Amino acid sequence: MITLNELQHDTLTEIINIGMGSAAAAMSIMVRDEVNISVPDISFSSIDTIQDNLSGLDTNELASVRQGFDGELMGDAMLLFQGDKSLEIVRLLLSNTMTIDNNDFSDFEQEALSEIGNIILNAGLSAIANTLKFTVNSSLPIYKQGNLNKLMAPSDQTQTVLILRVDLSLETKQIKGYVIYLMDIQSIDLLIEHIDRYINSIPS
Amino acid sequence: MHEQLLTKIALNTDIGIIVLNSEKTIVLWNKWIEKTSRRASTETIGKSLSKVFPETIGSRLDQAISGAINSGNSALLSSAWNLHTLPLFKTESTDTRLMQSLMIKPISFDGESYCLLEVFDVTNSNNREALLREKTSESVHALNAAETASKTKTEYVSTVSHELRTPLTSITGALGLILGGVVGEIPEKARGLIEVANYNTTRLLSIINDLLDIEKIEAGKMEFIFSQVDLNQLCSQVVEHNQNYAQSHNVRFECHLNKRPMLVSADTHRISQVLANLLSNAAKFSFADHAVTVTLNEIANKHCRVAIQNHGNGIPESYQETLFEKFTQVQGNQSASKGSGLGLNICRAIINKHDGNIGFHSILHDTTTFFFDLKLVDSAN
Ligand SMILES: Nc1ncnc2c1ncn2[C@@H]1O[C@H](COP(=O)(O)OP(=O)(O)OP(=O)(O)O)[C@@H](O)[C@H]1O
Ligand SMILES: [Mg+2]
Repeated sequence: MITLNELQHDTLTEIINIGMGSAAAAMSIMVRDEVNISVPDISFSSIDTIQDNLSGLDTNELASVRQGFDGELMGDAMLLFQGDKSLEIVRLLLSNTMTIDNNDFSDFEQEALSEIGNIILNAGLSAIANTLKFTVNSSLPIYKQGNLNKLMAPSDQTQTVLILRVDLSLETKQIKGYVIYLMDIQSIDLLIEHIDRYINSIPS
Repeated sequence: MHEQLLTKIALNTDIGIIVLNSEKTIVLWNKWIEKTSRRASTETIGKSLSKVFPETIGSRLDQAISGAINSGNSALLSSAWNLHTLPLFKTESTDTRLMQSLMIKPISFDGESYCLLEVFDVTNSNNREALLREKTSESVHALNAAETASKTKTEYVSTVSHELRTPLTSITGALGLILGGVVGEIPEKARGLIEVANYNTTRLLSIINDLLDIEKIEAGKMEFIFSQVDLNQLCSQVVEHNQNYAQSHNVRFECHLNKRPMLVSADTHRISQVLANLLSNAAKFSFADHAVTVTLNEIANKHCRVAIQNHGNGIPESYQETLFEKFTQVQGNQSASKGSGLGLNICRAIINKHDGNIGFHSILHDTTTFFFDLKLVDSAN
């Protein structure tokens, strides 16, 4: 399995946190309230062991926003939340008092969550692309709900996964989620190569 | 396909399409956008979007466009967060703004970056959404109002009950003394009336105590003092105390104790209260001249069952679900002493606090058995 040395690990975490900072700023404006997003941890995993790396989530009931990306890096980015939490997030953000249950999760709310996912996923991707000098195009977000297996496409099986734990907080609420990047091994190698190049370019 | 044909399709399609070049200058402005923005493409093409729509400067849309051109990001601006991103209007009215969802996509062509904006009219779906939201928030309001009202009522009942209890206690006390002959012989004519008064004030007092108990249980304020108790002893004591009550209903209480000690961890006072209510019910709803039996048995999983059985009209099966709710009384089960329907509710709350189980079986016009189960404690411990 791919491992990063400490410097690489810290650099990537830092880059992604900068991206999440801008996502939080964008969301704070949208919801007119302070939103904080941090990425306390990142790790690599293969698709088979991904479940073990999603601690704190019940993988039987997930809500996900998925976006493809291509260019020099190719793959898919996904935001994962607990199925029932996703509605809570939207409600909180929309500061709405609706009391409909999960099954009634409306198009409107799916769209709202897609947009949140889009902001977070784009922020991560742009931070990586801009800082590490990649060209990456992302596609539109797609919302899906279900167990982990259902959320994964058959073609995901060969991918390596970069897993970011994401803590989103607003007001007093803490919501835990994950951002995962599914990439082929060439993309991962290229990513690590660019991280090294970036580290070397920093005057010490 | 022919290039001109594709342009024609883009111009005539039924969603809004705007294309910007990397300078954010408008290069395509389709018919739908012309109609809803009320600006002809001849006025807008070649101008920057921020010139045409100054209100978009620095907006999320502006950021998303930059993201598409500079970083190749696609973005979604849903109507959930940004209802009126662009100043577009309904065709039929001059000042009703269109509710929109927008999709922003990067396009590269001939080494140039472009940005494609697709605009969807979501007015109708949003109206439905708004209606739904209004309806739900109305019902939430109604629920809140009802909750507040019910809370106020509970507080009121509890205050009044407290206020009533003190004078009532002294009235029953005084009546008891009079009946006991403390103030001398009572004229025969007066005695009957005083007995009626005494009976009813006692009843009132017990209803008030029940109400206060329920209020306490519901507020989680009822205190329980647990100690190790032998249910054999407790049952025979309570039965002894209530023999007079049995007599007044022409029944007898019979106790079938267990030979072995039935040790449980319980609040003596509260379990006595449960037993007293079950015994009083059994007496009240018994055929005259029958025995009411109390039996203690060990049942599965190291539990002890206390069962109180009487012969009477019984309780239809349909009451299984609701009998332990407040104020539930079986229709047609008349009794000389009328209750308030709070007893079983209190019993259940007390037994629940003991992690126990309470229930009944009934055969109509034959036997009715109420029981409660409590966990036995190991006498070795
Ligand atoms: N052994 C029984 N046989 C037949 N009906 C019963 C029996 N025990 C209880 N019930 C029915 O259940 C109802 C509820 O009992 P509960 O003890 O809660 O209230 P109550 O005895 O009417 O009033 P309270 O106990 O508050 O003075 C009774 O009114 C009666 O209709
Ligand atoms: Mg009763």
